[in-house]
Amino acid sequence: MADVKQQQAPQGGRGQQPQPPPADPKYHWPASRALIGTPARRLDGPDKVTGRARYTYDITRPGMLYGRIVRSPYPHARIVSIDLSAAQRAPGVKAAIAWREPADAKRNVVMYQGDEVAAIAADTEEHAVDAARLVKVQYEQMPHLTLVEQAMSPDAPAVFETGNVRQGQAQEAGDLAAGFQQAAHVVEQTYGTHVITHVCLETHGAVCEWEGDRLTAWVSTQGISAAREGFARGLNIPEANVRVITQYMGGGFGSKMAPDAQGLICARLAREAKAPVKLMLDRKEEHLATGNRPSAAARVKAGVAADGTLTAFDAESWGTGGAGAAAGFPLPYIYQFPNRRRTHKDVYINTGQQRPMRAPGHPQGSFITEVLMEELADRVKMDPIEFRIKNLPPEGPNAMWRAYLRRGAAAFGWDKRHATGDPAPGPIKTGIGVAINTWGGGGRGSQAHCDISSDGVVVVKIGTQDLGTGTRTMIAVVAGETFGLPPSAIRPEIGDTMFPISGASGGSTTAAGVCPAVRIATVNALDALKERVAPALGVEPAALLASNGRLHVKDDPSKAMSWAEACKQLGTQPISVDGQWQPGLSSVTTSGVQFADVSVDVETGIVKVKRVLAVQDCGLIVSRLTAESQVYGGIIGSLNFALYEDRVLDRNTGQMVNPNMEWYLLAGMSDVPQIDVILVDQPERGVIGIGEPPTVSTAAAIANAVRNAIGVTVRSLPLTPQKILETLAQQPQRS
Amino acid sequence: MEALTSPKITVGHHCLRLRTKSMYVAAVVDPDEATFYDRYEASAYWCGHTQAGFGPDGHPVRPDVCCGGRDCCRL
Repeated sequence: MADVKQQQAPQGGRGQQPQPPPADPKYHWPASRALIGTPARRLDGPDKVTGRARYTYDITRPGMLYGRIVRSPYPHARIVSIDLSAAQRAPGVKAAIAWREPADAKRNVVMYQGDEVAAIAADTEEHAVDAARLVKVQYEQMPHLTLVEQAMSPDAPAVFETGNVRQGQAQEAGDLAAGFQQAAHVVEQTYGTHVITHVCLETHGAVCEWEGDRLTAWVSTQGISAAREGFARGLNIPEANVRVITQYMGGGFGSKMAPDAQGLICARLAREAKAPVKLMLDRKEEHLATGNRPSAAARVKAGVAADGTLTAFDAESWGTGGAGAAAGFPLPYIYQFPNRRRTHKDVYINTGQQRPMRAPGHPQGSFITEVLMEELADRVKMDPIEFRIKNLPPEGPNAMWRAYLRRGAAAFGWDKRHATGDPAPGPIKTGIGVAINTWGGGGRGSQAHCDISSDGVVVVKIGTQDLGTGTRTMIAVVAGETFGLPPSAIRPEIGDTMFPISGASGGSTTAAGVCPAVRIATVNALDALKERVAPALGVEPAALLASNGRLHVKDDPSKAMSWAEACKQLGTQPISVDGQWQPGLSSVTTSGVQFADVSVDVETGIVKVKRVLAVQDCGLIVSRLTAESQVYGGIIGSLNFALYEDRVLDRNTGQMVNPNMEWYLLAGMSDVPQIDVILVDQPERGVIGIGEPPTVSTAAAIANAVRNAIGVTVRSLPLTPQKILETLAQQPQRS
Repeated sequence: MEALTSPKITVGHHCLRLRTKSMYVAAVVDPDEATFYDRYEASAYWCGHTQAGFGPDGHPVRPDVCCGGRDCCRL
């Protein structure tokens, strides 16, 4: 793609204008809320801890077979032949398919270790694994690219048809030369982040069952409707012939938006074997073939005036999203550089491709910008918080960093921060750091259905899915608020494409899409119930209120019916109504701030994160418990990004050397710090998602805390003991 | 959110099989987003036909290449 230069508008936030609420005030979020914003218990907690919750991994069907994929061990190779005969004769094998066509030049090249080649279905998982080993594949290895530096070299073999490097996204604003002239200090450094994989606790996979030309697929997916469409496209069948079910899902983090190749393979095996097939990937396959967060690097030259005003930013950035995929990220991140230029290159190597991963691009842009900010603050000898505040966009409902920095600093004990480099004697140095975040979120378009029957049961159906974040609880809280019932009285039904459509869960959009639709559907249902009950109480429907498990007359609370009595009036004619998302009940864009407190052993290089404080908004808080849980999860994920996770490739073979849970490191319980969460409620903005924002800035806050502790800057992640020690060794001896 | 993070996919120009997350995630764009950072390209793409990041011709799937001129492209 040609280098496209765009003259950007000057940076500077403005107060976001909220969309007007729905015209009918009955749909508005109630000013006085009994349930919304409370820490309601998770509805599905008992099912999960007792094992009653059925994940895709738990699905079994009569006569079900087990699928196994044969994958390329090479990062780039031509498949000369695939011999399935020995596998077909193996015990228990019911189907064997070649996913590649050796004779077809378009379909006989694998582009990364783990690329799909063939597949087996057998009566047991063990038989499938054994048979897969019997598939004989002859490969002709081809030149491959493992390292970004190698791919960027002019001497690199031409592996990708359009080139190994894609130049793109050059952007400029202001007058760069003038900006550097205004600078009293200039920092020039290179910063970088690494590739990590999603490590979903439940691996990717599906159970596929055909009934004639109709497919039912239980899929570990973040988008049941997306998966339905994907199966239909990939198998060339009508969408109406596909039903996708995802009752429970063990994490996706952006990587489970489509059925993927393994979904199509599973469906094909099931069709060929004429039996249901379960095909769940193993941990190695997860690391190799189901996505990753791209690396990011930037050579940055930045200027700051003597008074601490940022003047100029010039960056050349690059990163790899694997074989032919983008690796962009926002840079600079949030802070205002009036004069700036940035060029970017996507670098292609022979690894599995990137996929969206919790706030795509933001953690990378945050790390590079925030560590730079820390270095610039030191140059002008300013407190890092005051320095940040001086260079933020104007404050608004979607840009509250100034207020959150001050609030967080007070709660965290920022006044106890020492200057860069802990002067305390001994090998254990302590430090604190800070970083900020933003994310859009903001869903729309969801539809919901509500049934109330004469036995008093309330069912809310919506074709969304729960990635483990508490969607059921959120639905029950919204419905319970409308009906004046406890969440436990609501039966949310989700995770089935038979229900009214809702968007895929990604980009922090689920809450803002689902909650308005549920609110509107349940208000409509309550109106219908009032119509049926009002005559019995001798009042107009509009005179009735629902609260505390009763329907009562507004002006005479003694004139009332219990919920059960009211529903009895329905007899054989239940209420069954719909609701559709409307603007004004949700909003978009959050702001947040995080602080980290660490200790670093300068003799071993080991970093221990002792405490993280998050000040985070997400609009109207619907379910406080699950919102806080999202923050905990985001922080722990980013802790892993900062200190532990790292996809390591063998530079010679191009193979991943740690595709497991033994050498691909994640925090254990003892590594998780004290996490304090200050959730800022913004009811006037409506619902905004919170999946992404809390995972953006933790790594940068930790890196800045490490810098504050040891007095030197580690400019790339992960902050391994080796890297800490190497960085310390490169610095002049400190007194 | 996607407005600054991926190019616009245009019916009639891009392949009908080109897929990306924003086609399934119903987001709302904040006009202020452009004030917090410049445009960037972080999106992952896949082919609706192969359900993988490589098209029927074995080459990577991206908006700049999944348009007229590629044999497997369906406009």
